[in-house]
Amino acid sequence: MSETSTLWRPPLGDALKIGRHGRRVDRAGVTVDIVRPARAWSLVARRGAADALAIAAEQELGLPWPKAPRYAARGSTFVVWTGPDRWLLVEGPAGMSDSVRATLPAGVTSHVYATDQTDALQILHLSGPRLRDALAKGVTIDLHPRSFAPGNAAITQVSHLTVNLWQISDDPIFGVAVARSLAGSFASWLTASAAEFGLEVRDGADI
Amino acid sequence: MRIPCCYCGARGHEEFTYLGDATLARPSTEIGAPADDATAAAWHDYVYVRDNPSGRHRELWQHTGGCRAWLVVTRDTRTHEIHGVEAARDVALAREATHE
Amino acid sequence: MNDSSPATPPQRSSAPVTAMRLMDGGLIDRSRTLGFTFDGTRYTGHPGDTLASALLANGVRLVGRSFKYHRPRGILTAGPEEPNALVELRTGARREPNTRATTIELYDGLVAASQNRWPSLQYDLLSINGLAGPLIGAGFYYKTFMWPAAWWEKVYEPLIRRAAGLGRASGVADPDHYDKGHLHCDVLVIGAGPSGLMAALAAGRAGARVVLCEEDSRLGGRALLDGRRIDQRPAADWVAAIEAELAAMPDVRILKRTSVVAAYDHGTFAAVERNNDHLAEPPAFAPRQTLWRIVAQRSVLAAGALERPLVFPGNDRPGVMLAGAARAYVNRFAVMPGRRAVVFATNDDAALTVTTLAEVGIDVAAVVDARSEMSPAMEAAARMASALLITGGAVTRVRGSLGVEGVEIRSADGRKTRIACDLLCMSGGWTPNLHLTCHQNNRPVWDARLAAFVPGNLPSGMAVAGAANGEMSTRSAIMRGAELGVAAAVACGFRAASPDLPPTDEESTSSSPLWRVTGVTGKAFVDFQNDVTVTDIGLAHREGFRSVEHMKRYTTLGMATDQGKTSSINGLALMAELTERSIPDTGITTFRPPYQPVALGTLAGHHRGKDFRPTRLTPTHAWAAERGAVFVETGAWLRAQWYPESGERDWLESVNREVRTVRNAVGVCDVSTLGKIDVQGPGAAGLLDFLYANTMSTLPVGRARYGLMLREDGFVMDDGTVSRFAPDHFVITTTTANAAKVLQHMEHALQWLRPDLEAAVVSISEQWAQFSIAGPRSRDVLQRVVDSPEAISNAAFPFMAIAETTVLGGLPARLFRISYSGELAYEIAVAAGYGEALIRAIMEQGRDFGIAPYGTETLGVLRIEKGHVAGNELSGQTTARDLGLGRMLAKKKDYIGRVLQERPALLAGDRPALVGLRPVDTGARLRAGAHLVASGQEPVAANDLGYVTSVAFSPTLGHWIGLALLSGGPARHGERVRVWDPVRSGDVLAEVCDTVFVDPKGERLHV
Ligand SMILES: [Zn+2]
Repeated sequence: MSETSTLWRPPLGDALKIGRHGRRVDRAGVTVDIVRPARAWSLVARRGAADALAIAAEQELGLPWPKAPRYAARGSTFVVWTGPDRWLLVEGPAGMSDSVRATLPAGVTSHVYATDQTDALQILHLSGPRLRDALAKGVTIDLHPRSFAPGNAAITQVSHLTVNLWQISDDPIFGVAVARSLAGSFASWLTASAAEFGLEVRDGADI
Repeated sequence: MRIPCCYCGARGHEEFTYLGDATLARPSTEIGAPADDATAAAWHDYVYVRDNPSGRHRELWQHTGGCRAWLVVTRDTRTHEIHGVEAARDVALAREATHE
Repeated sequence: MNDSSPATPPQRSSAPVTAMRLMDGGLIDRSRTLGFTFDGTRYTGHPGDTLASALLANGVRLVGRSFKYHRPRGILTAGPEEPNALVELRTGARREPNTRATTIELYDGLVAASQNRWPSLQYDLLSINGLAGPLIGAGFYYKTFMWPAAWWEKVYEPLIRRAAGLGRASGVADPDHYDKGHLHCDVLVIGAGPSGLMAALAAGRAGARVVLCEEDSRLGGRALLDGRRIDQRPAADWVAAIEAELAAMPDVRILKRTSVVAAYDHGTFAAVERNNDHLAEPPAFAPRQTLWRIVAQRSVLAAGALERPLVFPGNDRPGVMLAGAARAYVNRFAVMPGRRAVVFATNDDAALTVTTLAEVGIDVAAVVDARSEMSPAMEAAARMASALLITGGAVTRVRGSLGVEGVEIRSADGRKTRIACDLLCMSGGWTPNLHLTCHQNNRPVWDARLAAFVPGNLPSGMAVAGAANGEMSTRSAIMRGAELGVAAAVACGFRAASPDLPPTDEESTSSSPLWRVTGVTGKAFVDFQNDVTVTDIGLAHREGFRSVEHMKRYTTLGMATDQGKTSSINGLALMAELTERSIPDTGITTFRPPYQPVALGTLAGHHRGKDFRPTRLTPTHAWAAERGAVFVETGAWLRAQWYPESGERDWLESVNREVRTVRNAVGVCDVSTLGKIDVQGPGAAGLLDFLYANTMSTLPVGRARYGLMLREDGFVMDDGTVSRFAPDHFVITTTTANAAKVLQHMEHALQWLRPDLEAAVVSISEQWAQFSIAGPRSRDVLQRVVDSPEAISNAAFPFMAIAETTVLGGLPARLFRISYSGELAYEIAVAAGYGEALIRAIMEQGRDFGIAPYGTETLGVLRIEKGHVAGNELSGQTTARDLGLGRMLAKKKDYIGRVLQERPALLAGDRPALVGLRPVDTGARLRAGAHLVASGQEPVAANDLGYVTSVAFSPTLGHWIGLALLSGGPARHGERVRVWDPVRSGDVLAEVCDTVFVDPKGERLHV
C-alpha cells in the first residue's frame, strides 16, 4: 500500500536531525546513517531445527547463518544473532517501502517462529575515524579490532539501554539497533558523546 | 564483577539479574489433592528457605541486558571467583532427563 | 640562643625572577608568563607550574586556615596527598572548594581564594578557636553541642559551619559536561614513575594492549622530582625517551591527569581523568572530566610512596614542608621553598633534600637526624651543604605564627639550640601507597624493616612494583617494574623480554621511624586536614576509643578529603604506643574506594537532567505534545496524563470531562506502554497454563481472556489479557509497570522450570502502537477506520473477540474487543510507525461522535468506577481471593502459585479483601493511603481494619469513590467505616460497598 507509507513516522522523530552537530571539523569524527529497513523479524528456531535452518537460510537467503554472536549480510539483507537460537533478520534498507509485510521464504519459515519487528527498532549505521572513541563513552564491551572484528555482534548495554551492535566492515562501520521508544534517549547520548569529535547525521538513503 | 556468559563472553554484572539458589527443585504435587504436611514443608522450603553458603554457590542469573539466557553460575561467595557458567536450559534439560 | 652560621654554600648562577624563582632548571616554560590571582592579589607564574609552586615562587607561604582551629597553614607537599593547601578554585558556577593547590595546573587568568578565614587570611578572628581548643578537641561533635537540643539547628550548627568547615560549594548548577568511558586492556599500569614506566614499556614492547594511568600532567613520578640521573642522563630526559616510545605504540594508551580511584572485582577499575581541569573552562563540546571504567586482565600497581610528616609542636606552620616536597619544588618547578632551611628527618632519603637545597643556594642551617647512630649518607650531605649535623636530635618547637621564623632543636644530650630559618623540611620516612590493593577487602601487612605497611594479599591479577611495594630505591623500582611488566604480558599470552635496565645513581634508603617527638608541649598535629593532634589521640584513648576504627571516628583522624594519606600511619603508631601494642596488633583502618575525591558530576556523566535515565516515548508522543498534553513519568515511560482544553481550570476539570466523554460518547487513549508478548509454538498453550492461575489452553482461537499471574508464594504478580490468534500463537499483555518482570518470569519458566515446553516468547511491545477506543460510540468510530466495517458488528465481533484486520486502506492491524473502562470498547494495534497516523485518523473520524483523547488519570478513574484492580491493589501482598478473583483459580492444572496460595493464613476470613467505599457525606473527599477503623472506634493501630488503595472523583456518580483492602472484605458490605488519614487530617465516614460502581451487571460491554 504505497499510499499508507507516507503515514509512517520514523522512531527517531526529530531526535536526530540530518546535518552537522557538535564541534566543527572538516571531516566529522562520527557519521550516523539513519537506516529504514523494509522488514525486520525476530526469529526463534523451532526445537532441534537450528541446523536445518542454517542450511535453508544459506540456500534461500544466501546468508551464512550465525550460530554465535555474529552478523552476516548479503546485499541489503542481513542477520544478527540475538541470543541462543534467536536472530534478527532484516531486509533493507529501503527508502520507499510499502506497509505490507512480505513473508519469509517458505524454506526458512518452517524452521522458525517469526515475529514482525519492522517498527520495533531504529537501526543506525555508525562510522568515522573517531567512532570507537565515541562509542567507548557508553558501550561497555571491548570494540578493539583484536576483540571485535567485522562480522562480530553483541547485545549489550549502552548508556543504560539495551542495543544490538554489529560490525559491518573495518573502516569501521558498525550497525546498531535500539528499541523504538528509546531511540530518542540513545540519540541524545550519541549526540553528546560524539560532539567533541564532530557528528554528521545523514539519511540512510545516501549510503 | 564480571560474569562470563556462556554465549556472549564476559560482561559487567550490571547486564545481569540475580535470582538465587540454582540447586532447588520445584516440588511436584498432585493436582487437586489437599496439601499434606510434607508437601507444605517442601513448598515452604522451596520458596522461602535459603542456605547462605560461604564458598561455592550455584546460582541463577539472567543475562537480561544481553542474550536473555538464564545461566547457572558457580560463584565463590567470599571472593566472587566464578568457577563456571552453564546455560540454565541445558542444566534443566539434563535434570529432566535424569528424572524421567 | 646559638644560631649557627655556616659558611656560604656553593652557589649556582641563579638569581630569582619572582622572589623565589630560580634562574634556570625545572620543567617550566619560562618563555611564557601566566597571570593569576590569589585572594585578589595578582601574581605571575609559568606553564608547568602548579598553583602551589607559583605561590611559593612569589614568596607566598600562607595559603589557608585550618579546619577547626583556623591555624595558618602553608604548603606541606608537592602532590595530590596535600592536606593543607586547599583553595577555592575559579568563581561563579565553576567555583570548586577544597581544591589542592599542589595539583592545580596554572593557567592564565586562574582565580583562587583561601578558605576558612574570616575576615581575612592574615587576621582570622576565628583562630581564637585555637584558644578554645579544649572545647573542640576530639569528639567535639558528640559532646560539646549536645544540650539544649533545640539549639542544635539555630545556634550550634550555623556556628560549627562557620567555624569548622571546608570551603563553599558554588550553589549553582555545574555548567560543564562530564563523560564516562570504557577501556579494555591486557595490562593496566597505575602510576608512571620509574617502575610504572618500565612495566608499561616491557608489556608494550611485547605487543600487549596497555593502559598507563598517571595522576600528574607529566609522566615520571618521583623521577621528575628527585633530580637524580637515570641512564646516565637527567631522569626527565630518560622519562621523555620512554614516553616517546610508548606514545608510538598503537596499542598503548597513556592517560595523564588520571587517577585510578577504585579496584573492583575481576580486573575492573575506576579512574577519573581530569581532561580539562587545567584550563579556565573546557573547550566547546569537550568534557571537563571523564570517569573511566577500565577492564584489565592484569594490573601493575606502581603508585609510589607517600612521605610521612614528623609529629612535633608547630609542625603545621607555613614553611614546614615534607623533605621530598622541598626538593620537588627545586627540581621540577625551579622554586626555592625557603632561603634558610633546617632538615629534620629519620632517614637517608632526606639527604638528597639537603644537597638539593644547598646546590641552589639555599642555606641549610642544620640537619637534625632523629636516629641515634650517625648516618654516613646524612653526614656526607651535611658536609656538602656545610650544615650543622645533629644526630639523635629533634625539633621541639617552631617559632613564628604566620610562618616559620626559627626552630628549637634538642640534641641527644638534651641541650637546646635555636636556629633561625624560614623553611623546615621534615621526613618521617615513606609509606607505600597501597590503597588500591585493599579495595577488595585485602589487608596490608607490616614490614618491620621499612616500618611501614606493605601490600598483603592482592586482588586477582594485580602485582605491585616499586615504592608501592616497599622497593624504595630507583634501581629496585626499575627492576621490579620491568619484571612485572614482562610477567603481566606473558600472563596475557604474549612473548615478552625485559627491556635493558638503565644504570641509576647510588642511593641509601636506610630509615628508622620516629612516631612523635616526646617531652614537648604544644599542638603537634597528626592529621593536618582535620586538625587532629597528639592530645586528641590521647583523649580518645582515655575515653576508651582504642580500636583504630573507633579512634578514627572519634577523633576524625583520616576522615577528611585526603583520607589520612599523610596521617594515618602516625595516628596508628600513637594509638599503638598508648595501648602498649605493636602497630600490626593495633591494626589499620579499612581502605575503601575512592582513592581520591570524585566529583558527583563525574559519577553522573551524561546522566543528569532529562538524561538522568533513558526515557521511553510512545508512538503518539509528538502528537500528544502538539495537543498540549500533560505528561507523567510511569517507570521509564512518559505518558499523557490528561489533555487540557482551553477554559479548564485544573486537572480535575479536564479529567472529569474526559471521563464523561468516554461514558457518554467515545474517547481514545494510547495504551502502547502495556507489555505485549508474542507466544508461539506447540508448547505455547501449556506454558500459559503454567504461568496463569486460570486456564488458557481452552481459549478458542479468535478470543481473548483476562488472566492472572501469581508468584510461586501464591500472591498475585500481574494481570492482563491473553489473545489466541492461532492454535499455537498467543499474544499476551502485561501491566506497564511489570512488562520487563513478566518477560523475565516467562523466560525463567521456559528455560528453567519447564524446558519440556517448546515455545518462543518474544517481546512485541516496541512493534505495536495500541489504542483503546472506549465509549458507546466506539464502534461507530472504528467502523470508519477499519477497511471492513461489517466485520466488527456486534454479532460478528462480540465482547472478547479478537481479529487481524486492516485499517486506513490496507494497513495490517490487530483488533481486540476488550474493555478496561466497562464501556463498549476496543483496543486496536498497528505497527508503531503508523501509530500517529492512526490516532489522527481516529480523532478525525471520531469528531462527529464527540471523541476526545484521554490520559492516564482518566484511565484510572474509569477502572476505579468499575472496580478493576491495578498496581495499587497488585501490591505483592494480595491474593486472587483478596481481590475477589478467587473464582478464576483453576482446579485441574498445575500453575505457579497454585500450592502456596492455599495456605491457611491466606484463606482466613479476616484477611483484608477488596471492597468499594463511598463517603456517607457525598461532599467528602477520600484519600488513598488512609486507614480504616470501624465506625465509632478510636483510630489506633489495634483497631486497624485495612487501608484505602485507590480513590477517584467519579464524575459519573458525582462524588468520591474508593477501593480498599478491608479485613473481612465483602462480608462488610453495608457497614460504615472511619476513613482515617492523619497525614492530611482526614476523618471521613464511608459506607462499604461493592467494588463495581458503574454498570454493575456489565451490560454496556455487550451492546
Ligand atoms: Zn549472554
